[in-house]
Amino acid sequence: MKSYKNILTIIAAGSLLLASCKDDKFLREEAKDKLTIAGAFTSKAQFDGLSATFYKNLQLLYAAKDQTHEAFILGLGTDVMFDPRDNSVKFNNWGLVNAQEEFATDFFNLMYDNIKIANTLIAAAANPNVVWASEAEKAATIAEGRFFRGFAYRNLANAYGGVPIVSEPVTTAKVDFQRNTREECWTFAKADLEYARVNLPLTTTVIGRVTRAAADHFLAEVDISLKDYDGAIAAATRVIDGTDGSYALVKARFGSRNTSASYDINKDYYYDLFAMGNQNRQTGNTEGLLVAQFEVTATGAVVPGGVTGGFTRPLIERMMWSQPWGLIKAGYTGVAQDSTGRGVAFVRPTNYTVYNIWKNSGTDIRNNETNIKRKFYFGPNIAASTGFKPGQLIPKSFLTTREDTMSYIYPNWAKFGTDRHINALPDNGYVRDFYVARLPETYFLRAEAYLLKGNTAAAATDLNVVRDRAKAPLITAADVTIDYILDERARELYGEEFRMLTLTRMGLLFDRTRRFGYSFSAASVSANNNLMPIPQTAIDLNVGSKITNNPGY
Amino acid sequence: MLAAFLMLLLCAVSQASMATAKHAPITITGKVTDNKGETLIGVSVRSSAGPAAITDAKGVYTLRTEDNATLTFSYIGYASQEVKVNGRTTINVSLAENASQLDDVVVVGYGTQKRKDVTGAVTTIRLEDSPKSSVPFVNPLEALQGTSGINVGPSTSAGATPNIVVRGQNSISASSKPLIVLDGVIFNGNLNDINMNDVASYDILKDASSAAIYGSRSANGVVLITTKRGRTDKPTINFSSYYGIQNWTRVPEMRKGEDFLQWRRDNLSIRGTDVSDITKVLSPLELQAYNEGHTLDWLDEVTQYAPIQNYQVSISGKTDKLNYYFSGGYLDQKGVMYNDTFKKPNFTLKLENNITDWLSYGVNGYYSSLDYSGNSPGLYMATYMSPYSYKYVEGSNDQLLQRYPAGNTSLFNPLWGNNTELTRGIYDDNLERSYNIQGTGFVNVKVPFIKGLNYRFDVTGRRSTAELGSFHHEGAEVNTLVPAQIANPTQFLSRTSGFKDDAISANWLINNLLTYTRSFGKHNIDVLAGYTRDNSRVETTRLNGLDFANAGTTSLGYNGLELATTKTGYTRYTEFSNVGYIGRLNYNYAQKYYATLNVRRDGYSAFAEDHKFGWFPGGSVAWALSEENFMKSLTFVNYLKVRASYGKTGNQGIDPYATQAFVTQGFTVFGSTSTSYMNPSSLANETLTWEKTAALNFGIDFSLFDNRVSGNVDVYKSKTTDQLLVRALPIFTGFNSVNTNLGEVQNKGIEITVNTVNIKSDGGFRWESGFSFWMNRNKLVHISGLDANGDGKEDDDIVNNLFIGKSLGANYDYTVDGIVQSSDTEYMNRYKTATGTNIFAPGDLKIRDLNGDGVIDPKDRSIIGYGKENFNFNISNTFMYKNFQLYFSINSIVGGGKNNFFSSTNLRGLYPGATLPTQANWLNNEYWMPDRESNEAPRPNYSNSYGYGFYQSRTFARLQNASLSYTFPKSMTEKLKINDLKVFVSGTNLITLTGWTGLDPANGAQIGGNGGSSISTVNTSLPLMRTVSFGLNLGF
Repeated sequence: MKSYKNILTIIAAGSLLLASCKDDKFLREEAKDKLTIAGAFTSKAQFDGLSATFYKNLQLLYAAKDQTHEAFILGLGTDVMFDPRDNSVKFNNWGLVNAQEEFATDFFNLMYDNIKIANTLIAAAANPNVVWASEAEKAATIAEGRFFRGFAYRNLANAYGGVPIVSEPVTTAKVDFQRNTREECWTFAKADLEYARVNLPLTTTVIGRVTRAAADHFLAEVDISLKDYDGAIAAATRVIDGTDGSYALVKARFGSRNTSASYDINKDYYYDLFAMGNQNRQTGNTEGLLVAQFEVTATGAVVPGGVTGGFTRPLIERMMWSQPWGLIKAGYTGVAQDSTGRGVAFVRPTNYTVYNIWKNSGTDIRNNETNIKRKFYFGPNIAASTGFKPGQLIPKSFLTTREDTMSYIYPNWAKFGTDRHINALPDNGYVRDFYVARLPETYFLRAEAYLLKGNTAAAATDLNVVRDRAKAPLITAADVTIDYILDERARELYGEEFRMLTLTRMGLLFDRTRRFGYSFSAASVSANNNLMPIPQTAIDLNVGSKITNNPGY
Repeated sequence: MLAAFLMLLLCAVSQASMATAKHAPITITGKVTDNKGETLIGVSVRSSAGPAAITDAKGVYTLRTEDNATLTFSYIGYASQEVKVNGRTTINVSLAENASQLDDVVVVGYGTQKRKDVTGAVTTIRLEDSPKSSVPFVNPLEALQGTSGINVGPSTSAGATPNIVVRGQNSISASSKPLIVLDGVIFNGNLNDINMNDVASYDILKDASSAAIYGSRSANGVVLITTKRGRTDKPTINFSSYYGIQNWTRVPEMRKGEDFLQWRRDNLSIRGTDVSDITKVLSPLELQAYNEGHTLDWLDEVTQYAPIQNYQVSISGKTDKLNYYFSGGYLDQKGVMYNDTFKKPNFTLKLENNITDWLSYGVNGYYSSLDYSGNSPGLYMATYMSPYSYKYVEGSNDQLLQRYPAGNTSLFNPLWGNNTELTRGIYDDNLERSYNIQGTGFVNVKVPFIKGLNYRFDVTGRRSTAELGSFHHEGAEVNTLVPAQIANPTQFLSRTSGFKDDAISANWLINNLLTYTRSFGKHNIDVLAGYTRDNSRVETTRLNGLDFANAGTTSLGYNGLELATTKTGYTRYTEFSNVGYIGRLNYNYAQKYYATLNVRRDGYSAFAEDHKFGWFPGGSVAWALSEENFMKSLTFVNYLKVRASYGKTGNQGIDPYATQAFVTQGFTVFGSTSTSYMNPSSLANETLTWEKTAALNFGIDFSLFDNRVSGNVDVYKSKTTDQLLVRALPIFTGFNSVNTNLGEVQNKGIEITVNTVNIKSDGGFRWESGFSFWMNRNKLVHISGLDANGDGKEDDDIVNNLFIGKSLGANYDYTVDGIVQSSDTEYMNRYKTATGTNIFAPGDLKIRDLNGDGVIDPKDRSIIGYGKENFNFNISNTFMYKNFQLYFSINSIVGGGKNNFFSSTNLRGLYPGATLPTQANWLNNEYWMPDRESNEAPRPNYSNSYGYGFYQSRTFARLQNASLSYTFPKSMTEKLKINDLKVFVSGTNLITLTGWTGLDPANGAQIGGNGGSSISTVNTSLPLMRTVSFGLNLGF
């Protein structure tokens, strides 16, 4: 009987033990190794971590994928550039630009990622439990989110027309989005940029973070789109006149290449703008309004952030430059040299960019041999039987095949590469920051606003500020047209400005490509290409409401 | 816990030693007959004290054993009989024919029932002493092959765990794995931890009513595995072993010699390249091989001689007080792919001690270690490689692999790998080991005050340690085409990397079970109430090392990661818990009318707050018609029962934390300052809860003609709602997907199992057959319920391949009418580009303009087939003659039908452009060329711009298992002091008949893995292995 009692005691004790630990508590789930949204944004440092994602996404515009992916936004297949390798690829053949097209899809998706982050940030900052040092700090934090949301809607409205406006964090599986109009998107962007221009700081100690001037710069463009030319002029003026911080066009040599070395001594200040390490305010550059940051690591050219799929190579030189080092018949060994770089000719400037815009350019330093390398010389292995010597200029007559001029030799803009690679590694050693917005573009925006208002004299004045800096011949009010502004943009901002967005914003992509684009692009482009297609995946997955694509897609 | 375990062990051992007191040996003789007086030959007579005998041609046995022993007479097809010796020297026995195993014990979840009392659809597979016991299964699930309603996939590498589906796909995207229960306890480990040789039987709960007792985890069926126990008074020592040779079934025939050159020439010439002489056709390295007459069969080079050996020793026995079983086993398996190895030692200990007539306790302990270390090549590149190529670098005396065997850097040596994390080669170190220990302690109390009341308490603890390591040395970075790199690999030290990853999983589980079993006259009841709770957690620590340039060496590999210039790492923690309340009531009246009710309330921690619990009820009734008086006149009916059941089960097949919204982190840079960023990466779901399956089952169990024909038929219909779906979202949300409960899938099916005794001759010859047939139909009823196009019907979700009213696994694609021939001018002229050129050229796929709008575009796609099978069947036969036994089973999955079932994409087998055609090899199949027009496959440079899937039927029939065994007669073995000696030869996956052009039709693997894609993760399928083994069982 004694054993019975023991057993019963055990059972009773076991039951009590279990009862003492409630099921609810036992089943409560707590993630111990990662942060949830709920716990993630309670301090300024965490908000900075959240907004840092915007800058990762900025980097993705320049280093997400190889080949021609990053040229899309820079104007691939438009008046300024094309893929020289194959006449039948997309953007040479605009017929292939459809709702499944990857480049337009990726850009679209990236912008909605920014919108999600911005909405998360704006909503989380409203949480009363967050401790802020000051109301200004809170407002500046929100302003950073609103800047990038406004920037995203400006990008989307320019390229795709009206898209769904999402102004709150999405917390449920919403699938019934509807397109807003293009004007609504621009208006929404304007409100965000207005908030940002008031609440962002004038300067920052964190290199690369957005400041007030960038907000006014993009606000000026959005105002033009909304036909608020006075607003645009006012916004641009705040950038130009120093209200938004002391910005000015660079007119003297500065930075990393301002040395007395023989290979640097004859360079110029326009070259300095694009030398490695020279893009940020903190290194003496007074033009950069918003600069995407890249940094080389100790082991060479691994770009932190901005990299998906393990792509660890800066892409711009590779994409934009020709590959003279591969022209064996000109005496090269097929190995890239520092002075020629390691271009592989994915993207070539059109004849418009190479020749047309430089007609009568006079002493324009943007077109000198330092800034656009048009001369190529025979390599060390050139056979004596050819009658040429190493170092001798390669004459045009030597370039006989299509590849010779499409791939091996074409003018290389100094802004896309370098003759002094890090660790002398032409395939890896070129890492520079990218201008998302640079002061000359602000002048162009104000010029555009003046032109559209009918004040061509003021427009000419603004254009002449940039031309004067470039030592180019000045123009008169009679010269100013939209075409002229687009030409000037190509001269100053080729490969920098989001040409695709400029042309779609103006509704001129079709017209300009037809007139100036690569022959295959010009032949295939059609009027509907003035807007990019909404990605089919976004349409298909939005099963709760039908989204109609832009006409022709 | 450990101390208690040791105490129990000590007690058990002392009990065991007490139990071996000796009694006087006597010699017993007798005759065994059936109930008609016919002598029975080959009946096994086993004494509880150990010795055993078999009846001779006159039905007579002789056995020397202790005078107080118990003899067990057993013979296939007859009910076993136990007889106490009580000092007698002559014991004649008459055996009754077995009523089709109706008295066998079936494990039904937290308890057992007699087969004839079962009211649900429960299938039992007995392995111990069955012909299947000599088939060389490696994974316990492999033995389920051929059971109706259960589809077991192939095992393609050493120590692999096959995929298994019970009664069709209920879930669109959540787990479809059935719940495994080992010796009464939910098993959370790797199935390979379980020693196949210890398995005595399986019971599979297929209908929802039976499975509902396991509530939330049982929607995909429950497989209960029971291991062996002691069976005789005398300790039995059993040794068994087999040695087998495995090879690869269905080796693809790649091109070689002139066929290869023709393929290469065709590929180049159709692209306009001059192929006038061989130097223009082959790369310089290929040309060198060609001139030297050096050719390689890469499928040979990446495979190895693949033996499998298995050893098992067990000691078992029982006394009045104690039942014990102890085993140790060792399995050493090589896969057919080079360097694919699997080693597993394991130990099992089971003790159960009856202290008094009301109290017993016991322990079950299991230990195993699994070692999969070593990288094996994939088949992907092996099927690409040119036969004119070099495995080794010239002049290296076959010591150094040639990284690019054909001189082309896009075709890497499959043994070398591709230097990515996923395709490491044999020059990279790999460690993959785990150690697992699990122990259960239990106490059974027959509550003394209330007759029939029993309490059981058990506690299970389990701990596994998994070690993963990888190291990529500088030598693996060398481009072997460049001698300077071979000479100086240290220049690549900065590109070396490695990691070491240790994961500890720990879980515990407790069961409190109260049962009450009583009979009141003809009323029999059996009640169960219980409470269970379990918790599992996994903790991982990882260290990565990158760049060993500063260290100057990588000789320490993953054991010296601290030498790396860049070190990163992370720690991970995941945990989940379950709570269950269990109740069941079994009632029967006179074993004629049965009713069962059960219910479980289950909670799972990973579901959203306030949505963690669910109710899972089930009920079933049965009527044993044959027990009614009005049936007695039908003498050919031995047993007949009809059953009906309905139940609701759940699926919790999502990972912990799936309801929460997280941020991911990464790095960006400001100036030169690296900064971490956080991005909201997932969307929370605050209502996520169980996926529920409600199912109805009707069944008949029958046994006819003196029990020579028996079997059962089940039909079922199930409805799975609140699917745990990863739903793709439009990018406007900023998220790609979210976990939701959405949608409904229905399954219905029929299962037929018939077992027959075809011949039962007086001469000792016996032939038995088993036939099973099962067919399942699947239907997606709805997903989101949204109708955006306003046609009044819910929209299909084409992106996710979900079609309302259709089966899951649809092949949604174009309809292709062969290949465009040069004579098809009318077809070619019909479809033009905007600029007026023809879209189609000779040698293209002839795609049908399904909607007749004159344009070939995505609107011309439709469902052209399904990956799901039409039906399955399995036929097994066992022949017994005297001491010989022959067993084989044929398994088949059949597709076709008007819905074109069981067809899958097969780019690599049917589409010549799926490889790198101008560099790679292909099958020796026909394709279209201008001078040899074909209607089978397109031209070699066809770009497949419509992304067509190239579908093929996977219907197959396979000689799945076979074994031939011989048991030596007692007269011979007794001289050797051996009780039992059986030798056997057996095999698995022996012959496969199919039209599938690929590795194995069962998993639809294409040649070289899953074909077409260059994404290394999908190219992991390996060939199915055929095993032929020789073995013996030895009992003392």
